Amino acid sequence: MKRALFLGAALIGLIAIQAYSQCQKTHYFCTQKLTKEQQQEFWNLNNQSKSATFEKGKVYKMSFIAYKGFDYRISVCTDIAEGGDAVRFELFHDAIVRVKDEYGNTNIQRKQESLYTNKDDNLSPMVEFTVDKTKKFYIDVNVPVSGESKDRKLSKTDNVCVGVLLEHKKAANLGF
Amino acid sequence: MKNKNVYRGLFALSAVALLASCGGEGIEIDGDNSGTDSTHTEVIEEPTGLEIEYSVPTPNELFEIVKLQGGEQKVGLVNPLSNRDNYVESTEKALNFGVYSADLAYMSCFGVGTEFLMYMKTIEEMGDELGISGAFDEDLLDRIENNEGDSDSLFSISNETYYDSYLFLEENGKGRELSLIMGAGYIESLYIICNLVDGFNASDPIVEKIGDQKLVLENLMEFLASYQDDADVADMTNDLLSLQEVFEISMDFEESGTNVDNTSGKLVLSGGGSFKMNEKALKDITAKITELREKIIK
Repeated sequence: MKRALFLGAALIGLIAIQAYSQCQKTHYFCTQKLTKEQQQEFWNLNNQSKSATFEKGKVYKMSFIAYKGFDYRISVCTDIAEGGDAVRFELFHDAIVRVKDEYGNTNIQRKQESLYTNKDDNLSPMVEFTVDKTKKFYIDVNVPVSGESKDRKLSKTDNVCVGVLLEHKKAANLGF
Repeated sequence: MKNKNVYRGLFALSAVALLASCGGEGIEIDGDNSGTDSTHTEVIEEPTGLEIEYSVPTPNELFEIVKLQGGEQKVGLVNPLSNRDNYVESTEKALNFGVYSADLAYMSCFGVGTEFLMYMKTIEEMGDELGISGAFDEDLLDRIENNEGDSDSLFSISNETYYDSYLFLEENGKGRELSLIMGAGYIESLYIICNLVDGFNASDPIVEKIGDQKLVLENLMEFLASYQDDADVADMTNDLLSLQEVFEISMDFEESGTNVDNTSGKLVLSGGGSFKMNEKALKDITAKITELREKIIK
């Protein structure tokens, strides 16, 4: 019985590792959703890009740092086969504000402020941005409810591969 | 994120210590120095309860932007290869793998090509000893030899190597080693840029980048929080918490509203509250990072 449990656990672990490694470079394929002109633009791959195996219908959230002095392009994709729903995503920054509490003490609080959602931009698969000071960002990716992963190992599961591709290049106006 | 609570506990403790050490005055805020105010940073939890995956900029990205903004190479900042024989335990090897990787990023970015190959060989040997040789291309050293003198190619190779190592470690469940490498790489990178500046100048973009490492540190700490079961990672976290305290205590908070302009097809974000560098902050951060680095490379 113990042996069966061990083998079962090992098998689940193996499937999880395989699914993970299958998804590990999904972000490399996010540019496929861009127009030909956008694909031809010069951008450097930013190593803060992420890929993950994620459940359909859930929200995948990641945080990254954008430096003053670079322009950034962020593209979002899944490996859902053609015909699946477009991916919705929303970009937030970490707003730092000063607030007074009920006792008159001053606190510095952080809260995530929405900056952009592709829901208001024809579900664009990417957004470009630049900052005048280095900032912390968050991105929420709404994994579509329907559609199947192109990966054979994931196709009959509730999971798909999600990719968030971050690219950067020298800002046109480096000093802002 | 199995052990986030440990980190949050440590963070809360450090916040209490911070307030105590500041005699209740806390962080100085522009235009509001009322003696009755106490100020501290309160991190608001995610209301949605979503798990967040934290990315950390690599040393390559930092050196790239520092160079673009006028940073100039200085000699004698990297960890000498003669120290390599001192690293016997696996923890020492993982930490100094991170240090030498950051050194490699610095050397490739600033065109210090002559020792590049020797540093890469050392990193590869240490990678072998750590059981992560699979992270390296078989033809890596040949590619370096073929591109010696071409700093763009060497920078690209060092960037790829760092990223491939990261993916390999992540994929193979070596979160402990990854945490130590990332933590040590961060410390070495910050040490180098602190030593690229000649004194405090508020308009120096590199001084600004030193202050920006406060944000990078926050994401790094969140990343490390997953591996607090390991005593060495917990030790690294404690060291970084002491650095975080220095950032919090020394830097000034400057408040301003955020503006978002989306008229040109590109979001342009300006303003927003942020922490600013000052002369004391530069001195304190440099002293603390030198102390933490010494602990690793000795």
